[in-house]
Amino acid sequence: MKPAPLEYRRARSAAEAIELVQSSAGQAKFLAGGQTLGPMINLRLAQPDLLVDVSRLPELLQVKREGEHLLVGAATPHAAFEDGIVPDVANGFLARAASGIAYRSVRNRGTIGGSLAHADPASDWPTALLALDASVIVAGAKGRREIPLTRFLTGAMTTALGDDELIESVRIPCLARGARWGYYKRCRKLGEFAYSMAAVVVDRERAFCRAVIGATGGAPLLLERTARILAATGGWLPGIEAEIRASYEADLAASGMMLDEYDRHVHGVSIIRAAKDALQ
Amino acid sequence: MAIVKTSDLGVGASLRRKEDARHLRGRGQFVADLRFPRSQEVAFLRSSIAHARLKAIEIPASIRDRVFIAADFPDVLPIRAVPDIAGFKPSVLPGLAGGKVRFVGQPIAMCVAPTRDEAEDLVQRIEVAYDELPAVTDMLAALALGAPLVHEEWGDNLFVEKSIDFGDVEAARKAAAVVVKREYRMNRQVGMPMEGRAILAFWDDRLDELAIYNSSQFPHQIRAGMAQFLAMEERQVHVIAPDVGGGFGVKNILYPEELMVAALGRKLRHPVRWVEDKREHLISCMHAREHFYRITAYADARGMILGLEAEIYVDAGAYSTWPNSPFMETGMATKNVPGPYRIRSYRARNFTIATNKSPIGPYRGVARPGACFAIERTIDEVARAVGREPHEVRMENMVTPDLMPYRSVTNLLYDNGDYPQSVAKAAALVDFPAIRRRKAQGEPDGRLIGIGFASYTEQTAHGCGEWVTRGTPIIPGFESTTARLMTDGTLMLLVGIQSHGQGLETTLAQVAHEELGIHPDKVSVRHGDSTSCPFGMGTFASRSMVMAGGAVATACRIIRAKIADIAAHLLQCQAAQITFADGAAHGPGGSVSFAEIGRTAYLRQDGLPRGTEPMVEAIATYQPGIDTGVFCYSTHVAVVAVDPEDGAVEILDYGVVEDCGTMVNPMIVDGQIVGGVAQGIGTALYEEIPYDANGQPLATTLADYHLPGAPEIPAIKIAHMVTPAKHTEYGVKGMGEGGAISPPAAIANAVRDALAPLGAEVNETPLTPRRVRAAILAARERKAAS
Repeated sequence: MKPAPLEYRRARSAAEAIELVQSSAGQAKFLAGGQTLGPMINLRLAQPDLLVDVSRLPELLQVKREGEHLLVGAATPHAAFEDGIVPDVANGFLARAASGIAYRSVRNRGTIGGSLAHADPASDWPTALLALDASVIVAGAKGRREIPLTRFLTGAMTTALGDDELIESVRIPCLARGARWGYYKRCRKLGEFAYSMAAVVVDRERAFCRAVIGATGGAPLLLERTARILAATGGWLPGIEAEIRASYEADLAASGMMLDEYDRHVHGVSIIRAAKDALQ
Repeated sequence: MAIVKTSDLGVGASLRRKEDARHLRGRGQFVADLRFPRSQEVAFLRSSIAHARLKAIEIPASIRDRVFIAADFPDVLPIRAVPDIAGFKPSVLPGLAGGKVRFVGQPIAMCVAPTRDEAEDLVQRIEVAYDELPAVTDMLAALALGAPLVHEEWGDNLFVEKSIDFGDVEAARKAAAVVVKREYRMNRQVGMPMEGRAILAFWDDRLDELAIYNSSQFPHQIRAGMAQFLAMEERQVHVIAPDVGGGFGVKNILYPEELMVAALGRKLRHPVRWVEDKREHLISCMHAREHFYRITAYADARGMILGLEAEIYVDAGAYSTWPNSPFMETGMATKNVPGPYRIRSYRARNFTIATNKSPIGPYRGVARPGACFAIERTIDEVARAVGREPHEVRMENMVTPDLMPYRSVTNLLYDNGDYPQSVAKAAALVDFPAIRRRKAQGEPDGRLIGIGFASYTEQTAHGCGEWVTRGTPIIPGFESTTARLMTDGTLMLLVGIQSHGQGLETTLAQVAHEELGIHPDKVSVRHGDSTSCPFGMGTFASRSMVMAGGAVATACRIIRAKIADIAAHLLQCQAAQITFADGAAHGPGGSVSFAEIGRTAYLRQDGLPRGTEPMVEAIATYQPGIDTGVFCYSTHVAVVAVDPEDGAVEILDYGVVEDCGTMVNPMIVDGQIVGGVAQGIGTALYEEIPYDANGQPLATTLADYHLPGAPEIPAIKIAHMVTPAKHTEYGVKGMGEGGAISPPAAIANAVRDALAPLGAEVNETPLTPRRVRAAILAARERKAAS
């Protein structure tokens, strides 16, 4: 389990990083925290010819408030959210999602942008950030573009990111002070990838409500009917659980996503528990 | 002799381990830490196909001198061990596959380069053309007529099949008030020491010998095996096991990879090393545990078991191994199904089956976790069938102290102990009545809680006769020690046993203290060198403390007699008057230090009594007073919470009551128990290596193969009972494996208890959320149908 020969370059700017990847004769990859790419290279499942290290680029490390959004550099490690170094504009949701990612050693190095670019269905950021309606700012040879996660996350480990594009930052809407969220995930053991996860955000002031399930084997799934029920309810009232179960089943049917009986049931349990967490 | 505790340093003392200082500082020396000039690294090309004939191995000419295949080693014999068992079909396991490959991961070629990375680059450049054959990956399917044959010349896929019939099962069947029939499955896993396999070999020109550094549990047996299959004289094979980072049984095998790296060292003469990575370990290291049981229990209306029938199937994978093949697994499972119970009628058939999977072999507990799972789950079902508490029915069925020594239905001689008392104490350890009250109240979060017990009695430190009846090619019935007083009065113990993390450098020094009164800090224990240490069998079968402890005691007593003679001469008294304490010999009129005695014995021969030979050194072997083994026993109790919605199991409490006789070092005993339980929890809830229908292993990294980590292991409550063994030094019994035996059964029984209101049970390990949920749904369907 040692990597095949490869070249390593540390870029001095995002522009140089993109230029290096674009001009590479062979396969080139951006390297941020390396918590997924590293093992894949060691297992020789990935055999890039060039790794361009973007983990210390200033553009990818800045954190700033832009009106009703927080702009977070893509190379910000999970631990920065967990430790409150990044202001939690989602009433504690960001810290909660970050603190459940794998183990602390992974959180010290793994980055928010890397997690989104890899788009493992069972990882935390895609589901959590989709529930918050975040978007990514992507830089490429042709300039920058902003892609909402609804369009960015296209499937299991597939995204709308071009080969030579780099996620520069993540744009996260700020929740209103009274907004509630729920996040529920189950793992075989602490630190493992989840086998089921769900996120719910209910922000009545901003008239925003979302329900998402992850760990489905595909891209995280927006549950639109379920979100409407959560938006309309006055709280965790009798009967709401059955309503959520039914709307979840309807959302699933509408999505065309094929799940086995166990996964279908367990993801339903997760969304109910996340919703209860948010509403109770 | 029964000793519980005599001093703060000897037998019974919780001395801190001498080994810890180097390991906690990262200064241990494992095979991967060794540095030799001109050393190169080896990477293996392994079969990617489960069953195939090799058509061609294409190696680019430019790298041919760095790639080695079977044809390059006409002087290496295939690995073959022939047990003394009628009808057993031993396989022929080549170091490198030449004709046929029989499991994914089987070594085909090895590449050598200055670094492992470069060696792996070479592996990538080799092309193998396979003529693929249908694979058989399910042991029951392998028995079907027309199944693909792993070894065509056998005509079937059976290593061996055996039947036993004791007592009168027919009478039991006729008399039974209840009949319980169940099927149990313990799925395939792998022992996972922190340090995987590792070997370094080169030709030592000065000594004119093959030097082999090997992470092994039995370096002396490895020397014998290497000499046999490399066709060498044993005097020219030198095996050194440096620090060994765990073994658990997986380092009790001579592996093809190791044989070939040794052969390569002999061929190239410069050092070559192979350090296994975790992926190789998961795919190609010896697997363990894959058992399937059909059990029928006949019981009376109170749940007393009148008779038992068992069909036992073991998926042994593609090859038998050296020295002890998979017949051990099946044989031990068969012998141990009746457990600690007074069962007098027992009939069993067993099948040791070949499939296109990695071979299986010993892993902590060897076969008994499966046997325990089968009988302990059955006891619980018998109790439920008669409407009684499982732990009460368990106690009533057990062999009682007044019946000891008790010859079990399968001819195991349980030596002593109070089995029912261990159950009672386990119930008290977790406050059984409180758990029952809590269960009756229900949990606020909707989870279901349950409590489960599982007991075992474990044969340890068995001697010559027992191994002969098993038919093993090698009979590991003894251990050896050389005790050497140094010229300054310190002590060197050279032992044939091999410590791979058990703290034997400490516990054997404690034994020396017990015999000689010398401080353990003044004792060096040397093991793991086949040249400097006397021959020994190694560490396995929960034998080291009994066997090596006995050998150290014996050797120390021999030198003690000589020290007493010399001291009596120097002190002008009788040898019988001499006592030993604080590193000195004491007579009625004065004392003489070991330093003085050592000086006299070696450097100042003129001070010796007339006729006494110089030097104080003795070599001794030891075997226990009986060779049927001494039985440690234990009851484990688990309290779990099951989420009926997603099937997740959480262990809320876990208790162990055990009796291993006299404990040489109680702190180390507790450490062994906790480590064993952790591995048993792995078997119960997490670890599994499934294969797909084509024979591809589906758990090939630690992301797919879930090992329990610290957060998954609860604080284990331990209580000891101490019934010293009658036939061993100090009354010690072996106990290293036991912790791993009961957890799957205890946890499955607890899950069963939790799910009892739903009528669900899970009889397959690991009890994954998916399996638990499936059991709940199946019970619901049964209920709806009836």
